[in-house]
Amino acid sequence: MVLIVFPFKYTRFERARIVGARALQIAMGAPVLIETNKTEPLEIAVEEFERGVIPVTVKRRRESFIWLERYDLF
Amino acid sequence: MIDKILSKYPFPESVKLEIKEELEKLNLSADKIKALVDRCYKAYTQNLMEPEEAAGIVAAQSIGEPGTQMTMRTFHYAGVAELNVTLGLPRLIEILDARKTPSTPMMTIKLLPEYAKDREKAKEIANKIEATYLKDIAEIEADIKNMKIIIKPDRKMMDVKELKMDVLKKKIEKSLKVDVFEEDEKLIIQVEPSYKKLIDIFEKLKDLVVAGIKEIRRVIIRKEGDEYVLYTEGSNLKKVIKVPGVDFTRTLTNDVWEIYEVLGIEAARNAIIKEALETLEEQGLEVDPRHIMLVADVMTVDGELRQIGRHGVAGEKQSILARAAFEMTVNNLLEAAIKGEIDYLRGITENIIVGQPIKLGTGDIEVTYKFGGKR
Repeated sequence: MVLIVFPFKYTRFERARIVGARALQIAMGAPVLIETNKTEPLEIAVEEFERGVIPVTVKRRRESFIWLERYDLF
Repeated sequence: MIDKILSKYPFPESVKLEIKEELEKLNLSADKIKALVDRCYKAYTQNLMEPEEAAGIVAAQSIGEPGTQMTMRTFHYAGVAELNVTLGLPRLIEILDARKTPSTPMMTIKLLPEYAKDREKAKEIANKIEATYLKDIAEIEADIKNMKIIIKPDRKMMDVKELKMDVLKKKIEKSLKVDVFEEDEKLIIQVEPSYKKLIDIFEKLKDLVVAGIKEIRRVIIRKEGDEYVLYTEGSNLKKVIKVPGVDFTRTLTNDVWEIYEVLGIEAARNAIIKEALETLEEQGLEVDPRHIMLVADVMTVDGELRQIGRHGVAGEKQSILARAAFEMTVNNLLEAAIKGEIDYLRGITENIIVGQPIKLGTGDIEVTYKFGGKR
């Protein structure tokens, strides 16, 4: 078992960001990647996210614990 | 064995110790220990804060909301109408402002085992600590005709405080820089022929502390469990921990600055947390310790104690706009302009002022294309 310091797949902020970006694409006419009856772009994006088909991921600046600089704190 | 299993998990040391203590009581097999620690780890991760979360805002609200319910009643008598302590909102403000001296400094002095059980011995230490004024143990008279001040010490009081005549004499000589003569149980000070000087010395003699620690005005002995504990009005940690018989590992003061100066920054951090939590608890308000810990951390990160406010955390922010947004807007901007300071727009406040997305929560996440997505 591998343990990492931040043990999240995606944080809720990352999830919101990805779903949001994808929903915008769909709303602007991008092809939908799943078979669904839904019509609301946001709902489609959520379903796509849950199935793991969204071709978008996040760039993390830090994967693990780091010392913060003075200007990071204040 | 427990250590080996625990070493694989990234718990903080204190959590590890707590788990270990509990596990040792249970005496389980290796498999069960593993399963149990795994459950603990799950619970632990659920309580962790996610990256990007606005911890400071949550802490501010969590302390601020109960703060509105705090009574403005300032004084409270601890115990049987004895010592009065500042509590409630004024006390909380005092802690966060990192005042040099609290309005009601107080100490709780625990004694070493050989002193703690015996009332007489506890009293002995109490006498050593409590400030004794000259006017309490002696009669002071001014002889204006002969330009003399006559001090008549009370035998009984001197014995109670364990003072000797020559010690008293030296003490007066040293602190007032005058010559003192001893004459059958009396101390006489001959003053130069100046009426003003005579009155001056007379007034000084009245407030002269001849024994004990000046800052500690009153000591109360109370029995707690099977030991005697001293409670004091006034505080001087540095001197008290040097008194023989005092168990300095368990002695407390409510003066955070004093703790910082005597015991260092980590002790000061713990003191802030303890004092703030106790003040809130006394009012019947429940605040998660982690919020207070964050505040205490911010106050002590630099290795020195800083108040929350203009002269501390908020006033030393690197960003000009963040400082201007807090207090004294014009002054801050003017001063920054004179110095030619640069704002790098790295913080939250600056970016809100400027109208940019802030680096927090969803605003701080960069999305990229993911290759090889499955259908």
